[in-house]
Amino acid sequence: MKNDYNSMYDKLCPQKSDDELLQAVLTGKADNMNIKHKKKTIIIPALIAAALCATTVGVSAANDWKLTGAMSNVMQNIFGKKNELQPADKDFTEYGFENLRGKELSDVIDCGEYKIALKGVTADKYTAFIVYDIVFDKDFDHKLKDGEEWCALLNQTDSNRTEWLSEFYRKQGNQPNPFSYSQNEFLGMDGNIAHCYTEVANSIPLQDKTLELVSHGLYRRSAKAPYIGKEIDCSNDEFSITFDFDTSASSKTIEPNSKISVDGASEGKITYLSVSPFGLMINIVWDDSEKMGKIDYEDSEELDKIINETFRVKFKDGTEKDISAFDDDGWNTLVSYDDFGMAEKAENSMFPHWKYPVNVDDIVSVTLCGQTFEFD
Amino acid sequence: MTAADLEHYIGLFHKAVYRLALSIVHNEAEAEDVCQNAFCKLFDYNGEFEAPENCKAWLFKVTVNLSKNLLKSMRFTRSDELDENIPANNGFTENETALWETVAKLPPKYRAAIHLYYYEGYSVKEIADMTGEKVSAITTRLARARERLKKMLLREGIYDEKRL
Repeated sequence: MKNDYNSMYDKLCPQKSDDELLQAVLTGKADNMNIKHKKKTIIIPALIAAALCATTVGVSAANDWKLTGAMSNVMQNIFGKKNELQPADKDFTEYGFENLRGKELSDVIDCGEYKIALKGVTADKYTAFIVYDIVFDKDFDHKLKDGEEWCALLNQTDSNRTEWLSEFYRKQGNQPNPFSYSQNEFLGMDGNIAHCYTEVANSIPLQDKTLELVSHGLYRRSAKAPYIGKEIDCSNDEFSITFDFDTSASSKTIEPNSKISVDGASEGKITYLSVSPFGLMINIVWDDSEKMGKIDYEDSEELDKIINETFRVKFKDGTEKDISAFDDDGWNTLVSYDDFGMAEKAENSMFPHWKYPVNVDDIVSVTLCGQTFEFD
Repeated sequence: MTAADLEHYIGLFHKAVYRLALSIVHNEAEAEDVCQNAFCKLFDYNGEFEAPENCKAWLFKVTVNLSKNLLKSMRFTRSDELDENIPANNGFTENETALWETVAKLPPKYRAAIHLYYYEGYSVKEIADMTGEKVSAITTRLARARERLKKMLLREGIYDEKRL
């Protein structure tokens, strides 16, 4: 087996030549640094942003559209689907959405046979939801297609790009699926208007640094640009949009610097605690750097222990929620890296997602490892 | 680090870094990204290496971290799972193809340990230094990885007991 394993890897070579990699590193460094220093930027799928650079026309469609109603539909779609096997919290859609503090948008992109109207955005520090409509010309035969397919139109606003990306992926031996990083979902059809939304990840501003979490977003595409081809400069700012949207308005944050203990042995400090309608973020700095290794994202026994036994969120009405109030997939631990990608700092960040959006004003405190952290 | 130094180290370690990244992320495009980012960080690095092997170990450490970070961030964004395709134009034999698919089913941390130990020939202590973990953790991980692989390969009928 060992011989087969070694022989298998002997046959694998990078697609890039040494010269191409050298060139990519030398030219890509500046781009990456520019992106790294961007904060509070909601990165939307590249093609939406690219399309925004195209002709902008006046908004005329969907006069009766209301952000609250649309976002409630989005919430119902997302959280209803996610938790279909469990009974939904009563009124969770309205209750949750009232506190998300969304912002209406009015950008319209003319794509010829249809227009894309960006309608609204709501976001916390981790995630953004953008609601948009696809507005067909009255004489365009939109009824021949299923509504969900129309929501994927965003992936085809530039046929040339789709074509060469498809070709690129075909050469790589993969199926052409270059834009799977963002889910475009269909909410409903109203005459010649298809209502859709997309969920995109945001970067996390954490104290004095930004943790780039957008593996399928701008950062990754930028790094890949040099060998995809020169037809498109993915590192250009035109592929991201900074919304004037204050994500901190819907969240509560404290920096307690309080000591915690695990197993009565190694100690750490909770340095950052933030609650938002969609999730929670906890930052722990361990006194003992070896502790960090133990709480690796795969070696989660100790992390589970912390979560299961000590974690509680208390609400104003006296109720408490434990780990069961969060999405199972949300308890990912992210080690904080220094500028060189080295995990030298004994620091962990966790960002669980609520199963349903909550009103952060109702949260009184969070308890973890025997310490209770109160919010004003 | 100068561009000439960078070019020198790319010449020496490009393939090795790529293969390590590929062993963890099991996706060619992602491995390319990790590889490029690792060398970006090397280019930014202000320190000096006494010997090329020190640079290789440094690069491997960064590559392991970047690969793991990538996998974590993909989990966070709830995006689709990595498409763990068999590398294109690989010239794999039937056994190698089956082995690739089986290794892909191991958790990433197991893949990294196996690759560094068996392919790169690092000692358990060196792997522990690279990954920032205890020697005992790596020893256990290697044993578990071997055991898992063995079970899977036998179950799939890819190898028999004699060939393992």
